[in-house]
Amino acid sequence: MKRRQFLKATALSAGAAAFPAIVPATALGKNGAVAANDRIVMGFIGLGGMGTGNLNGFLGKSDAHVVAVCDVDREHRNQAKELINKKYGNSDCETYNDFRELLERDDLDAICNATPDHWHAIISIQAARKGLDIYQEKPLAYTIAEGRAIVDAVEKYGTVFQTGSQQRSSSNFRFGCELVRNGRIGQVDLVKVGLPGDWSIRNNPLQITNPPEGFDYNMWLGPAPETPYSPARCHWNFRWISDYAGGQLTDWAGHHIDIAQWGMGSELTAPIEIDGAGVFPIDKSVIFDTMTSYEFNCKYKKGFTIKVMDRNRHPRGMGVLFEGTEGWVYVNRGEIDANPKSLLKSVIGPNEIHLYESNDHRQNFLDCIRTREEPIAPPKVSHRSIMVAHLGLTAIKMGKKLNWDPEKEVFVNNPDANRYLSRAMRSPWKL
Amino acid sequence: MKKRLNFSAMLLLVCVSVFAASAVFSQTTKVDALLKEIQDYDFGKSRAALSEMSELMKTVLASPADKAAAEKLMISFLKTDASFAAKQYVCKQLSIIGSNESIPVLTDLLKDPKTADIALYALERIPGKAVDDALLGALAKSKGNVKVGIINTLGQRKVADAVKSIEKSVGDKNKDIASSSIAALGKIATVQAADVLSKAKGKAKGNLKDLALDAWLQCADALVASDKAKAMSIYKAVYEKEKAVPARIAALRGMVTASGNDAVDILVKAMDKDAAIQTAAIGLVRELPEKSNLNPLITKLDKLSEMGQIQLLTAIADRREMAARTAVLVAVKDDDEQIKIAALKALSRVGSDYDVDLLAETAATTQGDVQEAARESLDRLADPAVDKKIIALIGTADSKIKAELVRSAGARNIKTATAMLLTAAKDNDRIVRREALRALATLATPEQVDELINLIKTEENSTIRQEAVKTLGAVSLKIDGDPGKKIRAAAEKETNIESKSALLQALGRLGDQKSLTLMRANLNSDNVELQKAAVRALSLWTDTSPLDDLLTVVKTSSDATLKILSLRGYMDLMKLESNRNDVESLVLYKVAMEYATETSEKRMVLSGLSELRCIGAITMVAKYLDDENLKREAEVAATEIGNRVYQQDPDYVAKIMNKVLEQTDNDSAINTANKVIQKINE
Repeated sequence: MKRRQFLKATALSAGAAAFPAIVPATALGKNGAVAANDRIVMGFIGLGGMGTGNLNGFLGKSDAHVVAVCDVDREHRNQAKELINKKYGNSDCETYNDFRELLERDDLDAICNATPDHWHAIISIQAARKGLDIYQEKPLAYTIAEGRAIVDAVEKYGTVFQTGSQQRSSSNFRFGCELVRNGRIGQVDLVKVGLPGDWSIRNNPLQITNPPEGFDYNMWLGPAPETPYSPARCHWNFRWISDYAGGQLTDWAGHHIDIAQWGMGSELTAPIEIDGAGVFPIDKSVIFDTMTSYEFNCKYKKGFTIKVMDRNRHPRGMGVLFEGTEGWVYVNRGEIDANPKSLLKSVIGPNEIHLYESNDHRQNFLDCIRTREEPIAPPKVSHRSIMVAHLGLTAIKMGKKLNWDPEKEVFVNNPDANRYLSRAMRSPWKL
Repeated sequence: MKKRLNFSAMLLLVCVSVFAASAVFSQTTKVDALLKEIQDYDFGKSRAALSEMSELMKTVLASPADKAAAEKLMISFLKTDASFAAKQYVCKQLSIIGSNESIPVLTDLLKDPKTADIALYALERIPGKAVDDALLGALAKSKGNVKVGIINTLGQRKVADAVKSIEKSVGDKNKDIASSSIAALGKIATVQAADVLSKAKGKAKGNLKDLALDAWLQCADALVASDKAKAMSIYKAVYEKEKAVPARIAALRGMVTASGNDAVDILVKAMDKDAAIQTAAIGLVRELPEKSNLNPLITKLDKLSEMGQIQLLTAIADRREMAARTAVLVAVKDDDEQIKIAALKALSRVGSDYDVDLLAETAATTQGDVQEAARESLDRLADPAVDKKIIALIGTADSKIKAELVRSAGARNIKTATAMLLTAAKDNDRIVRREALRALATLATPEQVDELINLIKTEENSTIRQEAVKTLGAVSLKIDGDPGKKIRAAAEKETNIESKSALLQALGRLGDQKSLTLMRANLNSDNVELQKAAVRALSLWTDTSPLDDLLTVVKTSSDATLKILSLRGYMDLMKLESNRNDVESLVLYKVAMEYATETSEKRMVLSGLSELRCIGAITMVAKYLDDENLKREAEVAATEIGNRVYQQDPDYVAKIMNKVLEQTDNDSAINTANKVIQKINE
């Protein structure tokens, strides 16, 4: 029996209790110490900023053990390897340039996928087929079709999948959403979501040049259209290039749009009507081409509207403002505010709606691997969060109001818009 | 009149037609002009023309005539010797506006491996059978990566007619071709595709085998609606005959979701399989149709391991199946702590008012995770009769259990329990009183402020009195207008110094202007205890209004305790939001440091400084890097400030970061200092 099957089969005998409560790591052994054989063995794919952040987070978990890293940039993977070996006091960590080789290991239980957006679906679907559990960075996918493919694969293989929408594991966001869900501010017809707008470019040279030694640029491009290398194109800055991502909008959809959907209870559906406008700067750069300013309305079947905008247009900058007939609730990182203020002391009773409670996003993932429960940010939810951004982006690109069928996941009576749902991958890549 | 109308209508029609024609002309001219500019585009050059074209496409898309005209121009463009970059961009546009008209030029691009991908980018999105046929035609003449790409696109487009052509490539020696063929058949997912995969999976090995099973199951998923028998035969074959566990789990899920009422039996049998399948089967209990008869699964419980039983019980409980209650109650008494915890938590979903006694007693007699589970379950029991039961039991239960019931009344937000809680707040048992006061903070209303004031006066235990202070403050905040009126009146009349001090502290939690006047009067009192009471109250203030009052006490008082209390209060208020800028805050911290005599107070100042964003703050902190008692806090503060202000004076900040790195063993400080230096070097 392969290691990953063994762990799933013996999950509960390791000491973790089953549903409905997630048993924290501290319950698994004295002071959270976990026997080596009971640790969840992880491999990391993508060790840039987010990948390294996740790596540091999981290295701090007593019930996780990282054994392998993969990055197309040798410098990244070697830095990660050093970090891991230093942490464990050994030299065991193995490095890979090609994620497929890492997935071939039979000692893994889970992976962390923190690659750029255009790689998310290919890697996560292959990992699901291998029976691996997955912690993947948001946004869930580069296109709506790729997101749907991830959702289907995860359900099919019973994968425990956590999206890196870690705001869900913060008590202020959860409580704010519970206030809204339980009608504390009356009927909510409008939610205003503020996200960053402009690019946050890290100053790498724009000139076309040969990729540095040790950087497998062809693999970095993967399914994206062929384009020559320039240092400004890849790490971090890929977010501002439409071949790989959708700018700040798609980068942050998995946070504040996700929270707006959570609060409105629309996390398993999507808007039916989308309309808005955005600015794609002309000639601001020779590489970057995503929107820098935007505002669009998403009307839902139940009648409410989620208005997504860049922070310069939002009354409170970043965050989510739920506006109800009897008050408002505002949530942002490290912040919750409400009118009336007394709402902040409100108690959510037993017969009211209690949202999924997680106070540690990565630990929630590890706990769910043992219990086989669904984590707090599963793909069926994160698919809908990023869907809102993709729909807004499409409406803006099309320059017209669009109607959407959330069940069938197609635009209604608009075949041109439906063309945006997926994108051909550069050969030989496929889902 | 009629003639005239007709004439007007005709005129209008002509005008509209002329306008429309000129609009088309206008858009076409713009597209043409931009394409001429794009002709010279290459990667790394200005994208201005591309951006303008993308913007123009919004208008073009709105008109079929504009679209057709633009497409025609783009088709011509692709026939020129424009750069690869320019053609790639144009293919992206054709992926949105392209029609059958674009097929010949795009198919032509498929002949060259360099341009095949950009052609497929467009072709994959253009709807219609003509594209399918063109792709099939191109497939026969293609090889290598181009062939892979065409097969992938045929798969994405679910071209049923492609099965025969793709079948030939399933066993190709080129692994990319074989793998794309298998994946494409899974996406096409017809009966014919399934049959091809049925043979292919027998021959495939390693990753190709996994992919073939995945594709075959994909066919089954797609066939469930139209040919359930075929779908079930695929699921069954994978589940029963294949070795790969992920595929078997996927097949089991397929069987369960497709089987309707038979799903329970399938799961019952799966419980006898190996452990991985058993675990998967238990997970699938949550996906059974709503009204499934779960009794066959429940009767299977005895044959499962203890943990297996709990997994299954809790999965059933997750469905809120009351049938699981009896079994859950048995598990609650299990000796294994983890089983007990899981069962207690499950009880919150399947339990009723009958379980209140059990949960309250468990919460009262256990500790740690078991106690937490029992409390959580008691607080979440959704049966409407639970609240009444809790209120009834508060009157009769012994102290420990009563304390749990009172606590839960607050957590459950039982508004009808307020009177009972006010009584409990006078209970002989101090834990009961404490829990009652905590619950009242949420549940009591402004009408009960007098009773809460009396509770403060009568409470003899200082810890519980502090709890009452918090409660009185919280409840008074619910009063509109002058929330402190009643408390001030009571405080002014009160002669007992402890009670008076407590009432003043309750006012501190309100932070209103009228109460501030009262505090100042007490600060000027000759009675040191009253001064201390006022200082304690001012330390709780909700804004920074009393900063100067506290600082005055620090500077002028001769009482050491009063000075320390005031300085601590001053530091607490410094943490509150204010309109001060960071330089102004720095001045206030400098004053605080000047008067701080104890190490703990100095540490508080350093902690406050670490929040600032000015060079002066790091300069001040740096002074303490060599102080044996303070250097640890100074190191952390220096790196945190450095991280915010390094751009203001990189060399100076780098120098301080290097000093921290030379002396510290604090991981957090090391990480932050290194990060700052790295940013400075960049």
